[in-house]
Amino acid sequence: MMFRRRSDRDFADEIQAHIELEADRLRAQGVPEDAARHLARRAFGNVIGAQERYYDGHHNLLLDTLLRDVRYALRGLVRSPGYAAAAILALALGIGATTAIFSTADEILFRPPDLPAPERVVQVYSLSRKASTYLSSSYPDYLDFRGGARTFQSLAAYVRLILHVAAGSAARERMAVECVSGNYFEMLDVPALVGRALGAGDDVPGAPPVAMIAEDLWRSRFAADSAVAGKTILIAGQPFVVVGVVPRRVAGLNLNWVSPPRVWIPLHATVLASPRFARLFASRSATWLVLTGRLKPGVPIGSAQAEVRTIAARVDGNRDLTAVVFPLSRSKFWPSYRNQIRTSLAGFAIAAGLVLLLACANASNLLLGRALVRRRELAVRIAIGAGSGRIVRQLLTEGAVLGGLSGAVSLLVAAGLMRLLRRFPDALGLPLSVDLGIESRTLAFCLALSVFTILLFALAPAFQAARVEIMPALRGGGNAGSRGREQWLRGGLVALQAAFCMILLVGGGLYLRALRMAYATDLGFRSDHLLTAAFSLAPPGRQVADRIWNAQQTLLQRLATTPGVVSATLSSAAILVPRPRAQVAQAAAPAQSVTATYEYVGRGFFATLGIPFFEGRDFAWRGEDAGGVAIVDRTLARSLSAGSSLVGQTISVEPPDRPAQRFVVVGVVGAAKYGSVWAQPEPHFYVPAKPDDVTMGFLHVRTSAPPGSLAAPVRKLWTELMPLAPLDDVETAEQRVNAELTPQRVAGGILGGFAAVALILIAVGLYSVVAFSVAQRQREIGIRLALGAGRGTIFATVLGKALIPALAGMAAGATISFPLMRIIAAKATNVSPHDLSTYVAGALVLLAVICVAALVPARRAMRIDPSITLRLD
Amino acid sequence: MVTQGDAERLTLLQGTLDLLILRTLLFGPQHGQGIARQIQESSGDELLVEHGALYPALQRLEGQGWISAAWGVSANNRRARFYSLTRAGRNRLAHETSRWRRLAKAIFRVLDAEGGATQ
Repeated sequence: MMFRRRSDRDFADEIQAHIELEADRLRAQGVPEDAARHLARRAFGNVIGAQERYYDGHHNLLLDTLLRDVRYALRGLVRSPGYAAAAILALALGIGATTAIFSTADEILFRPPDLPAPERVVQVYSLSRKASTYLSSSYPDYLDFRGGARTFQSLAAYVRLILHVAAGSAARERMAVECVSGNYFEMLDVPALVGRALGAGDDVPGAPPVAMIAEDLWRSRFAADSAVAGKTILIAGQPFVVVGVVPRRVAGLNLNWVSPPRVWIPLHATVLASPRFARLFASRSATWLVLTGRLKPGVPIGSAQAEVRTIAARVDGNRDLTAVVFPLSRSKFWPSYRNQIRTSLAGFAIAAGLVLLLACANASNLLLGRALVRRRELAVRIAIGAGSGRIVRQLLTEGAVLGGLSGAVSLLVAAGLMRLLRRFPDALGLPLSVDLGIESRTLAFCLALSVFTILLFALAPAFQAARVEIMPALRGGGNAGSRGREQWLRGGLVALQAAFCMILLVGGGLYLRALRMAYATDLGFRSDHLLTAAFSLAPPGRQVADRIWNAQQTLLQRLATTPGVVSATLSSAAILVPRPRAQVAQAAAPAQSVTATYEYVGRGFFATLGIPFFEGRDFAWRGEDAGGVAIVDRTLARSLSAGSSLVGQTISVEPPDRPAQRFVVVGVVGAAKYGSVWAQPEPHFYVPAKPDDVTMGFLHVRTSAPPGSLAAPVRKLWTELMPLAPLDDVETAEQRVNAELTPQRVAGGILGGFAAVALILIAVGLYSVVAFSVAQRQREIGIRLALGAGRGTIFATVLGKALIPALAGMAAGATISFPLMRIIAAKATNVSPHDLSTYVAGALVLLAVICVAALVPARRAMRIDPSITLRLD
Repeated sequence: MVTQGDAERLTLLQGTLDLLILRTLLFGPQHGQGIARQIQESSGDELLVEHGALYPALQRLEGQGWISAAWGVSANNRRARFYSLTRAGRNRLAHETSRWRRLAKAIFRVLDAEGGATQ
């Protein structure tokens, strides 16, 4: 302020002096002492008001009023706990859901890894120009890039394998093992937590086998023993000496590679795990490595890109391969998946945003309703001198308190949702290994969102309430003009909620329909009462192959007599996993070939899987099949011979990398969906397995008991027979189907949950709107009834006030859903985003909820008794 | 009170209170009560100064530097805060007065223009 500051005391003194002077004057005019004082005071008017205005004008004590407002708001919330709980919960759900989705998206798409100078770390992918797909690189490519690149401080290569690891005293377990070039840890610039990191000296052919283990493995298997270095672990049955522990923050640079690595070994040690890796080091066509490097300080990514491209062109000008450099935070997964993940996350984000907006509209409505109830209180406060700015500030503070509390609760919601998401690593349709957690970026986002929310839901009601007209409000009646505005505002909010609700319902509905259709799909085999398991196949070698085959046969015999087992069989492929392809043609007409998938099967395969025969016979497993026989499915039979029977015909089969073979077709069976629940069955044929086949890696058991209950006996039997060859992935066929449908199930669950929340919110909101308007118009309705209006008319008017905006909102929501569902329901593969029945069903559900929420208070309006109502006030 | 009832008095037009305060102080320093009283009396008891509005106005004028204030003693020996016109205030008064006269003249012209269109 420009002028000398005066104390409040000084100002109070001045007013006091004024009143004394006025009293003196009155006394001088002959007014008695007491009356003079009284009159003087009355003439001055509102002393406190004047002082307050002075106080406000002079002090500008923001903190002071803020604290007072916060206290006032808290008192108000405690006074009406139901209202407070509803508003806080609704907002917390909205903020929490949005925060969880943001945090997931941030972690997956944007967050830089926890490394020194992460912006200099990049990944280099090969790109096939012709097929426009990203590829790994071969080892010779890696050496060329490493030798030629001047923009890189260092360039490393890695590959992740799933191998059996026996560490400490625990049993052998399949783990992700990252095989890294010798400079990998030097490139990351992360020292070992304990011991030393792998170095260049470890990654040479013939070096003593060494490994690093992950921090969590070190803690769980070695009790965080600081002397872990020097201990031996078994990887794929081979002993490796542990040299160090990798800190938790280095969890592998690629997220969509089954699971985070828990063991690191030098690249050249892969030969110990499997001898077939030996020839990979020399092959240019075998692309199996991901390249990652650290740029020299100050080198822009563009120049690294240019250099890498030049090297790629120089390596072999004829090849269509080039190389692309991605910053690490943008290449946490295979580059081509980024769009897919982005669409999934965008769908979730839109849905969560809708819930948030809906919660805002709801809180706004509640706040507005409360402000209307408190109109008399506000009018009194304005009448005794509170400015309308003061009232707006007060109401905004109430909003802020609500928002703040909701923000705090929303962190719990977000944590819960993220835990849920983590339980379904396939939620986005890819095996992502993401470490989701609440950290500072999430907190900041949550805070910003809370503030934004407050502005969104508290502003309109605050300004609306501040426009209160004092006299009518004090008299207790409504003011027609302002009530009209409020009705509009509230109606608009109801319409908005109905629209958001409709979108969420349609989204959830589309997934529900997609899942119902998927589960109802005839897979071609019976997925109930079916247990499956995978054998870990040892490297080739006749002796081992024979032993496995024998053990498998013994297992099948023993299983046949196990209680609860109907039959058991082997095959070369797991269910719902893509199978190898071959060109198939009738030997008589080799030109008309079709692409078909195939697999080797053991005795009793068709009976165990429940695949029906349509023609011919099963494999005989005797001499007559020795010449080479096959069983085709109906899809293949139909595409090879239109009309005539294929049984007895000879087919010629040509796999891509092997010479053609001939088989006599002995039977035709039903088509089965092996590849994917969503796809149509592909042409497929079966070949009987021979005893020396080591490809028979998969066990199928048809059970009469619940299939899950046989997992333990099957495992026990196999361990007895083959103590060293593990049995993996023991699971029921239904679990496999569920796993295949995880993206849809998670999306459906999230959208369905959101839609349920939205329905509750709109029910609460609509109920309060109608109930409030009935209470407000009680007198008016009473008069109408007294004047002879029919109760039905009153009922219809009240209901109409709620239903019209709700229906308008529904229609708008359905219209917006049309384009939006392409994103939100992108993974509801087998359902059109414009599926009419889903829209109708969603509309009916919403309508039912709206009607119930509006009917209850509307009926109350109908029962108003004019003889009582008119005597009120 | 002896004179008119409060309800019959004219309330001040928005913004005119400042002008009247400045005008009152032209005759010398005066305290708040005195200012209010003087405005009321010199208007022939037609104008009512809401005392609650007076002090914010005084404060505003003081803030703008048009008046200054100091504690003193009133004619009947009471301590009171006396306001006096500053040089800036005098200029302001002259300016505002002429503006007000023009405005009033214009309003009168409109109000008295009954049948004036034919003149």
